[in-house]
Order: sequence, then C-alpha cells, then structure tokens
Amino acid sequence: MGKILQLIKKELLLELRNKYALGSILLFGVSTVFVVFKAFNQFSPMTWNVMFWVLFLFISTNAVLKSFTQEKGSQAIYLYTLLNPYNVIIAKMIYNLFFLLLVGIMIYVLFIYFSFDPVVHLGLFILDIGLVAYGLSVIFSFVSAIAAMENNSSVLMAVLGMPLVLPVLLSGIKISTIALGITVDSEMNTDLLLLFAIDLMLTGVVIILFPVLWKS
Amino acid sequence: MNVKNNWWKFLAVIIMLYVLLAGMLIPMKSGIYGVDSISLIASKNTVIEVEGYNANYDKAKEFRAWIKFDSSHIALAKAVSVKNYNKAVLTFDLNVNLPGTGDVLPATLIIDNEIDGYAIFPEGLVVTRNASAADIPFKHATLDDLHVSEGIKFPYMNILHETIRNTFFHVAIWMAMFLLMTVALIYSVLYLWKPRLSYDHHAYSFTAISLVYGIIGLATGAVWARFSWGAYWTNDVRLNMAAVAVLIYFAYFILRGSLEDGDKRSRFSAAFNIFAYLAMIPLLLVIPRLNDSLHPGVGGNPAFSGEDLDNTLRMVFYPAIISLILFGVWIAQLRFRVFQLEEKHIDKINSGSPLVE
Repeated sequence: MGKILQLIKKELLLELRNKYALGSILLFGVSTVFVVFKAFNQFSPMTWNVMFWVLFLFISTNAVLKSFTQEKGSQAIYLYTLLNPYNVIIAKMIYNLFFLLLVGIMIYVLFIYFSFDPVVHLGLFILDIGLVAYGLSVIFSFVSAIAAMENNSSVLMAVLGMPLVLPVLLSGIKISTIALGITVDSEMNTDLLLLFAIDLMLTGVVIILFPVLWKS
Repeated sequence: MNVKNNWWKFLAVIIMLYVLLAGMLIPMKSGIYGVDSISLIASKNTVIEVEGYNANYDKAKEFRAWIKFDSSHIALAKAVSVKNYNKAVLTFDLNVNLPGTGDVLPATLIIDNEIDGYAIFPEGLVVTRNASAADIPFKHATLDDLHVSEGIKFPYMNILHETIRNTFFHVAIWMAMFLLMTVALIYSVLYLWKPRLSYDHHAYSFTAISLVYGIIGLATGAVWARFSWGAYWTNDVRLNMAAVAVLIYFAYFILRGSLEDGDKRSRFSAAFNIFAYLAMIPLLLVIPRLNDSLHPGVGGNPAFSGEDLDNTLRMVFYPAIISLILFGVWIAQLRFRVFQLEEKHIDKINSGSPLVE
C-alpha cells in the first residue's frame, strides 16, 4: 500500500514538473469546447450531452496516452527490477482515475462557462463521470502499456482503445441522459450497477494480465 | 485422404447439406398473412376479410373463426364466406358487452380448418367498443377441436414469415462463433501459462475464423433485418453491440500486425485476446438484455424459446450449430497448418527461394 502511494506521488510529481503536459490538456480542452460552442451556437441538452462525452473521450485519450511513455529505456529497466508489477498498474490506474475525473470536471466547467448547465441531478452526473473515468483509466492504462512497448504508440493506442471503451462510454451516456433530465428511467440503478460491474471486471483482468506485459 | 481421422469433416459436409436441404425445402405451416383492416367497430355484423398464407380455404369443409379478447371472452364467427384459396370474409356479432374497460381493446384472431390446421393473428386486431350494447351478455365460445396440420412443417410467425429459416444460419453462426472464440481464449491462456508457439498459432487461427463468422453473422442479420424490420442497419442494441465486438476483434489483428514476430507479439496478442473476450461478454450477453431491443427475448418481442423454437425448428437448428462448429475447427486447422509449413520452410521464405522445386 505504501509503495502504491509512493508511485502515485511519483506520477504526480512527474506531471507537475512537466508543466507543458497539464497546460496542453487545458489548452486542448478550452479550444475544442470553444470550437464546438461556436459551431453549434445554441445547444439543446441532447447535443450538450453528446458533445460532452465525445470531448471527454478524446481529451482523456490524449491525457492518458503518455501513461507509460514517460519511463523509457534505462528508466523502465530500473523500475522493472525495483518494483512489483501489481503495484505499478494499480498506482497507474488510481492516478489516471483521479486525473480523468479532474479532466471530466474541467470539461463540465468549461461547458457551463461557454453555454449553460443542463444537469438536473448533479450528484448522479458526477458519479457517472467518476464511473466512466474509472473504466477509461483501466482500459487506457492497459492499452498504453501495450502501446508503450511499440514506437508508433499513439496511433496503436487509439486503434486498440476506441472499440474497448465503447461499452463503458455507451452506458455512461445512457446514465447521463437521466442526469440531464432528457429521459426518465426507472431502471437507473441497474445501469449504474452494470457500469460499475464492467469497470470492476476490467480492473481484475488488467491486474491479472499486466505482469505479462511488464516483463518486456 | 485418411478417412478414419477425417470422418468429422465428412460429417460437417453431410450435416450442412442436410441443413441446407431441410432448412430450405420444408414448407411453412398455414398462417394469417394479414387482414383488410385491423381496427374493427363492434356491431351486429362486424366484417373482416382475412388473407391466409399457404392456405387451402377453398378446399376446406370445416372453416371456423374466433375473436379472442381474453381466455373467457371468445366470440365465434357467425358466418364465413370463402372467396378463394387464401381469402375469406368473416362476420362476427360483436354487439355485446365486451370485457375490459377501455373504449378500444386488443383482440386475437384465430381461424381453423381441417386441411391447414389452426392459425393465429396474435393481438393483431383493435376493436372499438359499442357502448350501447353494454347490457347484452357476451356469448362465450370455447376453442375446441382445433385441427393440427399434418406432416413436418415450420411454424408460421407474423412479421417473420419465411425468414424464420434464417434461424439456422444467423443464430447458429453466432453460437458457433462464441464457441470458437472460447477455444481461442483457452489457447491464449495456455500460451501465457506455457509459452509454446503452437498455442499462439492455434489462438490466432481460431480467432481468425471466429471473426469471419462474426462478419457473416452481421451480414445474415442485415439481410434478415431488411425483410422483417425494414432496414439493413437499425438502432437495435444487440446489433450495435455485436458490431463493437467485431471491431474489438479487428483491433486484435491490428495489434498482431503492428508487432514484430516473436515472443513479445505472442504474449501481447494473447493478453489482448483475453481482454477482448472478457470485454465482449457484457457487450453481447449482458447489455442487450437490459435494454429494449428488436431482437427476440427482450422488450416484448417473442423469444426463441418454449413453443416458438418448436421441435421442427430444433431438428434443423441444432445440427446447423454442430456443422458450423465443425467447419470452423476445420478451417482453423487449415490456417494452423499454414503456420506449420511457414515454420518448416522459414529459411527458404527468408531467402526468397521457391518452396517447391
């Protein structure tokens, strides 16, 4: 547990030291939201919902992309000899989860700033962002571990990751239509549970499979 | 060719021929294709013209018809006049106290004759109540002596009509695909457990053939959807989730293509294969069941279970699955043997010299 916390701290330090990384994500977010806002001029809650998730997907892809590319060559070998792979992947997933949650809330705030706030059930909406961020962080951590071993990493990661995140994203969109008051659904709890179950299952698989990737 | 070791290949071909012949040639039962107007106004002489499918109304001697509101309110037609082999005009006396409370109520039309057997038009009618007849009691008739058509015939279902035969191909190929993907998964797990090249090659071969099956499954589904839902591609949950599952498996091949030969590629693709399989389970098995779908079994659609998948369908459906699985194993084995040959002649391939002199 202590090792995991240390690893999360290391990730955070690397992030903060690399100021352009955080700045680029912020700039990416602001400019895409601005373009979308200018293109639509007027949002309906439905378009708001769609654009929110599309931007969330693309910005988070870029945000997590570098997850395993920071450690290269000798540094990776050093970490490999030093650390237990389980600790590494759990730390990455936790760090990415909080990072993506922040990205999601950042996009939400930008959307409110540029257009309006259609969210009816705020708690549900934040929970939804959290669950989707959890799913995306698990899948992207796994895929970026694969992609980092290859040189053409960004393309490979997008190709491998996009189909895998679809179930998580589609469930998330379905829940957020409820949070935005577009639809009323009595089976909302089932959807939330399903999304959480998918997240948990993927977490388990990634934790089991990661040592295989880590060896190289 | 060694017949002793390859008997299952002959079996696959023979069963497939049987499935094609039986699945295409066995006739449908007689059914109700449609009526001239589905909304009826209750009166003393409510007339409805029914159009039958595979029917012999002109040859039948005993032609009877009922309108069923619920199990204790069934009205017998007071007059039936047959126009030709598949058209008949039915007259009902509905100037009575109809059950329920609403102004309009759903009803089921049932017809029966001794040649075609009985046929049902389930919940196909909408009857508008005649409020002034509230004190005339309902004359309940029992559904008795229903005839069953003789011989082996496939059940007739509205909307599906003859396309019910696609069950043997569309549904069977998805089931075969699931089994072959499971075999590929087992080989991937085996590779991670004991890294032998043959496991990796088997996993690849089985994944390749199941992806082909998946694409055929989507294609046969598209044809079926065109005829029963009206479009090749719809917004249906299961359809779209199946497409996502096929995309995930495409990613497997892209991953293999982007890595160089060797242990690393085998290990990564085995890991991805396990991940893809487990990501596919919620896609194909869980999410569609929780959402409304045009597919059977959810959202009020008839499920292929119980009486719907009746014994005549099963007689062809189960052999179809077995045959498709055997074909899949066969093709996967051929792909695997290509790997073996490549391995054997790797020096010749690398030096560019011809394999056969």
